[in-house]
Amino acid sequence: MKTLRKLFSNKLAVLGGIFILLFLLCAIFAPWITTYDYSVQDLMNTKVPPGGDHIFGTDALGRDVFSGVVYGARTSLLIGFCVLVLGGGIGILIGILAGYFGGWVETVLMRIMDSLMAFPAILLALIFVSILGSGLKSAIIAVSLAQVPRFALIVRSSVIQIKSNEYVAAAEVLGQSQFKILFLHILPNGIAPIIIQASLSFGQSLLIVSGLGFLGVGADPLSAEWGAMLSDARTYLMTVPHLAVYPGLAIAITVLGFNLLGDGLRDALDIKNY
Amino acid sequence: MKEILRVEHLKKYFEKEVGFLRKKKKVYKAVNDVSFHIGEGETLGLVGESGCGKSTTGRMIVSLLRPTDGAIYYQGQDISLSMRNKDSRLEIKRNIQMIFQDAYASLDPRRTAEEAIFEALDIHKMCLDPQEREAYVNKIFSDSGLSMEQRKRYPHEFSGGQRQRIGIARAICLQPKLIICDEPVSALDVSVQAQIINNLERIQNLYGLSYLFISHDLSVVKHISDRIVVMYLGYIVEEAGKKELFEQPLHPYTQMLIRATPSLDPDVDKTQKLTIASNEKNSIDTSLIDVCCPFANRCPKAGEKCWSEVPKMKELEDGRKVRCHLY
Amino acid sequence: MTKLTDMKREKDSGQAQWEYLLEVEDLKTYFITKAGTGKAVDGVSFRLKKGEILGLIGESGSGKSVAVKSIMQIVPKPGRIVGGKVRFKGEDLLGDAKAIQRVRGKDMTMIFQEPMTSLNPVLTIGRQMTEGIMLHLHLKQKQAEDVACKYLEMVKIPNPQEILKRYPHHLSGGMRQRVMIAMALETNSSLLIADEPTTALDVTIQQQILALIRELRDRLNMGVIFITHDMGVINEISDHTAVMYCGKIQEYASTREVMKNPLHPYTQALIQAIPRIDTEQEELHTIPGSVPSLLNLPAGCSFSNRCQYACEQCKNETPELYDTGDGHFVRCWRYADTSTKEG
Repeated sequence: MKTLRKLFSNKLAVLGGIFILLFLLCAIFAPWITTYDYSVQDLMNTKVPPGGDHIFGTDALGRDVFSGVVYGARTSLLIGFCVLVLGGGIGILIGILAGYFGGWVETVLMRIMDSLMAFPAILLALIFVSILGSGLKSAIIAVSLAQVPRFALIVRSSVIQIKSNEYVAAAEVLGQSQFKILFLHILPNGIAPIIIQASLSFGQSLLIVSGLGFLGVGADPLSAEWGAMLSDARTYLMTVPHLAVYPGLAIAITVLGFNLLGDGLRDALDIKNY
Repeated sequence: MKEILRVEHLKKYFEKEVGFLRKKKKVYKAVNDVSFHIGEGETLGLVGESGCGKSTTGRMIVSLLRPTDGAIYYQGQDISLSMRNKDSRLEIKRNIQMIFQDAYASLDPRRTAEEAIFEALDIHKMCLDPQEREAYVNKIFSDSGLSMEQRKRYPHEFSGGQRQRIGIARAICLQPKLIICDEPVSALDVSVQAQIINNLERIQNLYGLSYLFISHDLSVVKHISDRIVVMYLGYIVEEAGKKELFEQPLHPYTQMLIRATPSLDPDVDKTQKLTIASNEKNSIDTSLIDVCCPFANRCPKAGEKCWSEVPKMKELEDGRKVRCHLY
Repeated sequence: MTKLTDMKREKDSGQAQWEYLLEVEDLKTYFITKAGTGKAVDGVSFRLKKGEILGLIGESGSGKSVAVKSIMQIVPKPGRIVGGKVRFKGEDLLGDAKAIQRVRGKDMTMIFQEPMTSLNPVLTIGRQMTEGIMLHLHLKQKQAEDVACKYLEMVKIPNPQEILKRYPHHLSGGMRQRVMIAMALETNSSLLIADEPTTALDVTIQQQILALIRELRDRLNMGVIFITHDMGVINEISDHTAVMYCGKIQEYASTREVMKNPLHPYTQALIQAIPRIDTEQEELHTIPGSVPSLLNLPAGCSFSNRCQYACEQCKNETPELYDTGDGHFVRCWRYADTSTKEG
């Protein structure tokens, strides 16, 4: 309760929350919000400027940009969620194992993470796409994998730091089991950097998937995906700029929203902070 | 007096890898030869300067560290054997508790005062009935000098002294037989220190506890202990009853320590005291361990034998024990 | 060495118009935060003569450390010196922005509890010590090293040549503190402020440092302000003692007088609360409660909520520092009548 109250008193976090809420509403109620189907082309009405029937205008194929942006939220939510569950889950687990047990477990796991880190995320994604074939699924797997070492490194270092705290020794003196020490004391105290990483990862993965879409190896070109829309808009940037503005804004606002909320959550979860 | 804890020839070496390309193992001998026993209801003071291995000894007794050599017996049974079996491990853990020097660091910042107690009770499946637990936690809190309203507060909302009271509450709630007090008052203000010391003494009578009281402060150890062992560079150099130790310290190191402890008596001869101090040779030398008497470089009475032979613990006719070639 | 002491004498004789080395008058340092104003130092006044050691004793939060940091004008944010006067050798340090820079770290030096924080970890002791000497005395590196060695000998460091080549982390806590004192000496300081310099040290080493400070005081006639929370240390080092509590000096007298005849209930309680090595006590005397937060001080006398003698007046009105004669000052209503004049 206290955490929530603290979160709400942080104006920036609330702003971030509003952005995310907007994003979620779009994703959930997409069919009801939009009047056009993004996959339907209307070659009679291409590059219509914003206003009137098409409030964001239409693209070169006569598709409604507003529908594209709203449906794009669904794709983005799917990407972000999968990356956090897959990348975050595996990364946190690896980080905990490496940090808590140390020794050869740590050496092996962290060297693997180091070698993953050596590749830029987008390059890693390209490699995966070329192995698994083009498409949203392989893009998501690739982006998740690219986030694993980031989570693992952060969790490991905070586990190592928390492990040396005297309250962990105190729990050991009481007779607490290793497993419970890990989940009762170490993980809750290391939550702040994980949240920050999660909010960063969410934004990053949207950008990378958008980037892949831009390169033409991401989502199916017919489906609504912000990166792909941007990529298409590039050709007409000089003549019809609104095509790039709306998906670009959507990406920016969503990423900003997650970062602001993440920052706010970290402060709100800090028990010593009033 | 029934014996509750016996420690025999305890040793603890820490190994550290040094060097970047050619790794070498550097051995740091923290505890070299420590033997003592604690009787039921007794307070044994363990005193020495920083780096003498007193905290390491305490941590070995509560199994936070594994001894390199030697044995620890709780009520006659070897602790290292008991640790192998889950039930006997918990039994030992319940009976030997610890109070830490830095109370704030020893409390999980995300858990309230009562949650710290609940955790201990949960581990040992004590007071599982909610009503019974409620009453028990209240009792523990009041015994430790905390009020009921403070139960749901977080560690950072307490003052230093109150945090140490939570530490005490957590240690006594399992109704242990022995508590290792690792410098429990040295981080506290003087006015609070007295409250905690009195509280520890009161609880000892109330619960029939034994204490191993570890401290660098001779005055505090003198106040609270029945018997005192003095440690220097991982060795116990002297063991005696409180009265004997302060009236007639035998080991030159004990003498030096007593003389160096600041006194509150305004009539003490400061100039003489300070002259002695300024003539004292400097600091500890770890290279003397296992070579000769570790105190030889600072000892005003060091002779040839002190530089060539490691002294053994000797029991004198009057029952006192000292590790020095002079006796 | 004679050359150095001569120099010191010359420096002093030039400006002998002042009676006190340091005069602090009604010094106030407040910490202004969103949560409120913490009066960390609230009207502290004292005087220090040349060659005198003043002990400043208090528990955590008493403002003893902030007081001396205010004298040095190194108060950490959000602390601010809001009033008072600090006169060093007759010169006002608070009024003139350049004055403090002329004396700080030169004629007036400070040593801290943890010397590691004031030593540069990546430079050798030699580099750090000779830097100042070369600058002030216009000497070459080699000569400066010889001078540094002399100072290290003064603080009783064996084979100083060796120490000059070492890095700070090679030295023990006691040795580091000696190096800090040596560095204070090489600037010919006439005032040494020592902020809990022995708290982190073992008792045997502490005793050596205390002996060293006293000896240097005798030899160089330095003024010393010694801050500690340890009554025993105060008893062994200082000539006069000021007891601080909640930002105010509660009692000021010669150390002997404070120990033998403490007047303020706080001082009395404090002395009785300490376990003693020289006598037997059954139970320790305790002071109920704990030091109040600076943001939430009791009205009237700040000790009134813990004082066994507290009456209505204590809870409503703040007492002055009363002179009870023989230079024994105490801030307590119980001595208001006996006082000869207000201090």
